[in-house]
Amino acid sequence: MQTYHYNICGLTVEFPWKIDYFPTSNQTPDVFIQFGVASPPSKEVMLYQGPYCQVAPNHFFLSIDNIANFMVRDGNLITIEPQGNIDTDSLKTFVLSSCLGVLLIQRNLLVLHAAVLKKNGKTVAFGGGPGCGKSTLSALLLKSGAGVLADNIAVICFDNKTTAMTLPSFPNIHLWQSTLDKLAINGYNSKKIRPEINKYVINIGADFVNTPQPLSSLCILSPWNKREIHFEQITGAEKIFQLTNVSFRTKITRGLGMDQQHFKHISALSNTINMVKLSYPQDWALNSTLINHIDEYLFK
Amino acid sequence: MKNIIWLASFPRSGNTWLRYVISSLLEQADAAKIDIIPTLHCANRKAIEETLSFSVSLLSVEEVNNFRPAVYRQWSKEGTQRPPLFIKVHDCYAKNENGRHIFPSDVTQATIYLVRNPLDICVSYAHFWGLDNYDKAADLICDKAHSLPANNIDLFGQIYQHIADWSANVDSWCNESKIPVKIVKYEDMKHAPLATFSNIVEYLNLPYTEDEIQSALQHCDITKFQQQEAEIGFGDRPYGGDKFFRQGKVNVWQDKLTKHTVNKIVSCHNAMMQQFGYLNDAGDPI
Repeated sequence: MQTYHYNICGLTVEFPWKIDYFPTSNQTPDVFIQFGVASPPSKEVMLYQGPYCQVAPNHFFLSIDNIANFMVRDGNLITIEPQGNIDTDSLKTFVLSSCLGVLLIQRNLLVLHAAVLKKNGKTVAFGGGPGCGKSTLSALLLKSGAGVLADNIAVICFDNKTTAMTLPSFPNIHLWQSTLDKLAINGYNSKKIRPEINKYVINIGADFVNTPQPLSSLCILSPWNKREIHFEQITGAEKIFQLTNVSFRTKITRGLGMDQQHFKHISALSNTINMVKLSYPQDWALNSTLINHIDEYLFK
Repeated sequence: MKNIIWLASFPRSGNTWLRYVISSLLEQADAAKIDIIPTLHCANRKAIEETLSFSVSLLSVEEVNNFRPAVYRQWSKEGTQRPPLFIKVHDCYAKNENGRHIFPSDVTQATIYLVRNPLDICVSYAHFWGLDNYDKAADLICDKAHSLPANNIDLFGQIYQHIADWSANVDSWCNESKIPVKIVKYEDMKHAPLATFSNIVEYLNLPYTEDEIQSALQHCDITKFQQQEAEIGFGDRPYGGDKFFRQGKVNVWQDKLTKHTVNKIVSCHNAMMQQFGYLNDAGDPI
């Protein structure tokens, strides 16, 4: 079977499919994604069991009804066992989100739910819970001239104790059809993430920042129902609380036995970057004002 | 284990008030704070995704609904060491595409379903959504396809919930559900709060005295919530909407709604309004 090699998060990943617009790699693969039999860990070693996943050190098993079983092992292997006639785009979507995120945790990297953008030489991560507006903000900043390192999963490693480096993930962002229409983003190729979902992968081409960048700030997005746009510095123990809150799949991290490493990572990150909370209205009429405030406060 | 208590209602029927009072009792706190959301919400997207270990934004509404029963069973399993798990619901009681009830009976201890006069809901709902007239709110509570959120970009961190029209929502829980339901009228909560909340506490076998319930009601006085909302806002209110914590008065519709809007609601919800005593024998609103 033909395979394809791409550079993702500083790793060479071997895929069973061609993926348009992803940066190719000529290096020996660090990670393999392949079809096969996916099996759960034995009960004796299992540390966490959810309704659709079973987790043990170096072993994550995910079974999604009518889509596929997935197994992520040892930070270097994702096995896909499709169910029925599931389409390739659906498989890619779950591999590049849940499975890859878990694999990066297995490789002892810090994974946050955050978009990462670079502008005026500064790299800022925008984190927050689901639906807080990360992707919409990424698109707005992209339109204003920013480059994108990551849309949803921010991967962070430490060059030394004083520099947190954020790794480039994929050259795309995900947007709902309604958001795309409102933002009138032109000049990029787009495709539905899955046939039945009205959400699109927007390939951002040259606006993808494809080299690791030192992270200067993490901005926690906190939409509210007031008209004001308000920045507040996060300090002390609140930094750890917020970093835990935006960490990718904390239950899975515990199930992998990686919670101590995770705590070391967020402690280190809390000591190396600026953290702010941005309270803002999710109001399309105020988008340009919001970007101006972010430029002034975080990218200047 | 049957340890979930669903706190269910059509929106703007006193659900948040009930949640805060119960939370105040459980935590024995000196004061309720509106920035600390009491009890779980069945549509909390972050909690659901942590449980599923994948994002619901990659799924269709039908797929999400197929996964929901297993999510609630997991919450029940993880909550066995605590008091009952109170979970807020605005969905109507329904089955998913797999033919399973979204709110599974095998983990349900009970449901408290709050019913409020849809004429008063209409006034409150118009302010909640920031609508410029009450007739638009009447359209929402008569819409069989009514849902929260209204679209994908206004998720407020919640998954899609099928609310349905007021009658269908009330009927699904009060007449059609396969789980134990105690029906509580919002008007009774307002007119006789201590007796009504004591009755709820007794029904749920919670170990609180009348004094403790009285104290919780004082902590959750609406004027205190209004003051807090003015200072720090409230996350459950949509942008553009009026205050979340309004007056919550009974029969406010009499001063606000036109005859046209009243007739629209009564015509749409006649049978269910009769069942709950919001219409007299002649079919006129009381």
